[in-house]
Order: sequence, then C-alpha cells, then structure tokens
Amino acid sequence: MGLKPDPIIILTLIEENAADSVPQLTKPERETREQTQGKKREREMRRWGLLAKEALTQTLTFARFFCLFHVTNHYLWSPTLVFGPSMLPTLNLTGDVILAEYVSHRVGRLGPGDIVFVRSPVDPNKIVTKRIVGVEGDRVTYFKPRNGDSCHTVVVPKGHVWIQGDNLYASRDSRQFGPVPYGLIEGKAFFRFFNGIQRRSFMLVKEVQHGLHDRPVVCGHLIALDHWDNERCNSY
Amino acid sequence: MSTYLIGQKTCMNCKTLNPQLPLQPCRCILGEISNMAAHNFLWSLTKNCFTFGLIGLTVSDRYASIVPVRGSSMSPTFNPTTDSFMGSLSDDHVLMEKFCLQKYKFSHGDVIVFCSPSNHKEKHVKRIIGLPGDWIGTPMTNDVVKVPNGHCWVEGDNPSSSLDSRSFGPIPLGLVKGRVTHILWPPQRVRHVERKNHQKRHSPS
Repeated sequence: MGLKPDPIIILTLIEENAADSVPQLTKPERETREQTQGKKREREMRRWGLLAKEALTQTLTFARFFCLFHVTNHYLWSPTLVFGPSMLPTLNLTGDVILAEYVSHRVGRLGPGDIVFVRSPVDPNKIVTKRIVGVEGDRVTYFKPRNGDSCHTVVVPKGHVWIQGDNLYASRDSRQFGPVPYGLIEGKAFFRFFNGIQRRSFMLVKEVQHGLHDRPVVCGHLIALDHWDNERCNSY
Repeated sequence: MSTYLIGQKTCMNCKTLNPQLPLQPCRCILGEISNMAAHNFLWSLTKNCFTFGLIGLTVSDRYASIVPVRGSSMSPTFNPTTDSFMGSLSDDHVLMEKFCLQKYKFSHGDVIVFCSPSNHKEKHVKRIIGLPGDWIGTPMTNDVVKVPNGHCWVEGDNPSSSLDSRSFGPIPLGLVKGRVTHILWPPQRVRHVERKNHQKRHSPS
C-alpha cells in the first residue's frame, strides 16, 4: 500500500508486452514472422550491448584502481617490512614496518646519512636497507672488523654511492662489494610505523599482516630482504 | 527545475520580466545549464586524460614500452645508417619488454636497456655477452675477467664506436631496465631482434 510503482517502469513493461503481443492482436497480416524475429534479435543485441558496456565500465574501474595502486607504490610511497641484523640498533632485528618514499632518489636529493633501499649488486632479486655514507667524489674511510681491523680509504667514483649498515660487525655492504651505482637505489626510508614485529619465518609475517586489518600495511607491498635465521647470521 | 509559476512573466531566479515565460525557460537558467555542461565536459576530459595517463604509465612500467635508439654503437642491428640530416626521425624505435625483470633471468645474446653506471639518468642499449660466472677475454689487455655474481658483461655490436663493459666493467643486473624484442620503426625495418652468440665468451665447463 505504501509502495507506489514507478510510472516509467510500468510504461516500459506495457511497451514490451505490447510489442510481444502485437502480431496476434492488432496487425496480424502486416507483421510477418521474420519481422517479429528481427525485432527479438534487435532486443537481444541491445541487451548484449548493455552487458558489454557494463563489463567495460567495471574493467575500466578496476584498471584505474590497479594503476593508481601501482603508481603510488612505485612513485610516491609504500609501507615496507625490513628485518635483519645489519642496521642495529637503528632498525630492529626481527622486523620494522617503514614507510619508503620514492620521490627523493628521482630528484637527486639523497645525501650521506639517509637510509635507503638498494637492489643488491650481488643478487638483483633482493633489496637491502643500508645507510649512505658517501656520495660521488667523497673520500670514505672504512674498516673491516673481521679482516684484521685494517683501515682503507677510497674515493667514491662518479655516479656511485657508498653504503654501509649501521651494525658494522654484521653487515654485507660496500665494504665487500664496492661502491654501488646510483641507479640501483630504489627508495628512501623516512618513517617507521611499528617497532619490533615478532617473526620466526616469512610465513608468520604474512599472518601478522592479515591480522592488522585497520593498519595501512595491509595493502602495502612487502619487499623480501635477505632471509635471516639463527644459523646464517654469521654470514652477515 | 523551473523557477517560474504558470502564468507569471517574471523569472523567480533572476527577477527580470521575460515575455517568453512560461513557455521557454529563462535565459539565466540556460546560461547556468550551459556553464554546468562546459564544466562537466572539462572535468570528464581531465578525468579521462588522467586515467589514460596512469594506465599508460603502469603498462610502460610493468609490461612493455617503446624507446628510441640513438647512436651507432649497435650497428647494423639498430641504426645501420647514420643520417644526421633526418636526425631523430630516422632513429630506430624498439619495443622493450619488462617481463624479464620479474626474475632477472637473461640469456646470452639478449639486447638489453640499462642505466649507465656513471650517470643514472642515461640509458644505454647493448647486448649481453657474459652472465655471472663467465670468463670474458679482452684482447686489448690480454686479460681474462670473470663476471661476478649478480653482474653481466655487455658489449655493442659495433665495437669500434661503443662505450660498454670494455670501459666500465661488468654492470650489476639490477641496472637493467628491459629487454629489446622487436624493432617497430621505421616500417621497412620491422622485425624481431635475434640473439647473437659471441666467440669471446668462455662458459664455465
């Protein structure tokens, strides 16, 4: 009783029903079988056309969302999980969620003291987190703690940076693989969300991520860094 | 929508006497409608440009993009004739695919695009001669160099005018930005870019 049917819908229904029943009632001689079938086909085509249009709109929306997601994660910022002993005491052993930003290294505003994400020159599938100690033209003095504590001085060549972990005793960095070309730098760390996430294996990290539904890290992207566990920490 | 009463000749919106009312809408409303239509059109145009820009950027970052090749360091594969008269119009434009960057798996003889180690803003196109673990012989210094882990040795097809690993050494694979698969321009040179093997390389046995 409270529901008043929309007059437009009623008109459409009447129109469709009238079209279906026209051949039998008003013009039985003029409307031949083929014309009826032609009209039916036309209606079906219209329906398929509407369906296709709807599918295209949904695909475009999905594509727009995906592209926005990609552009934000590669050109603006994204939350990243970092773990490992090479940046103690600045970053935690078991894991930190850090906001990485991708604007500074493109405009060239990186300098000594910045924590950066670098694609490892030893394995291009891994990204490591280290601090920039010297840029091109700087003279860097370093020592290797396990190799007799001898001091070396090197001038960083053009287009390269010298990166070192904060924990000199457990870090594989430019002291082992030399200065790193600037083109390998992926991003700069500038904000830390969480402190000390417990992790025993990579799979556990995934569980933690799913549990934090109201945190921004849920839709961030994880960069798998050098896998660390108790047996292999000596190799760092 | 209408802002006039039936029978009245004064528009309620702009308060002017308009003899055409109430049969035709007042000019003030028509002006507003046309402003809104122009505004909507501009807004939808901007939105469409933004969307397609984003989609184009994503596709060229993740899947494939088209790059011009300048210089003759890869003759005769690219730019076989140096035509300074036509300039950049006669440059070869090639299709560079980015699927190889998922696992950084390359083969000998692949033509790749990489950032120069001395200037990250420049990109170079060269061919991979050696992968990690290969020994490369340099006839200049009679040296044999082993390509370290995670690096590759690149050389141009035209050794006389090519700045490559013979000058700056093996480059880290992380600098590679894509692999060239096809030449797309000029139309008479559209073809697939083949892998070519080199005699300089000695694989580990």
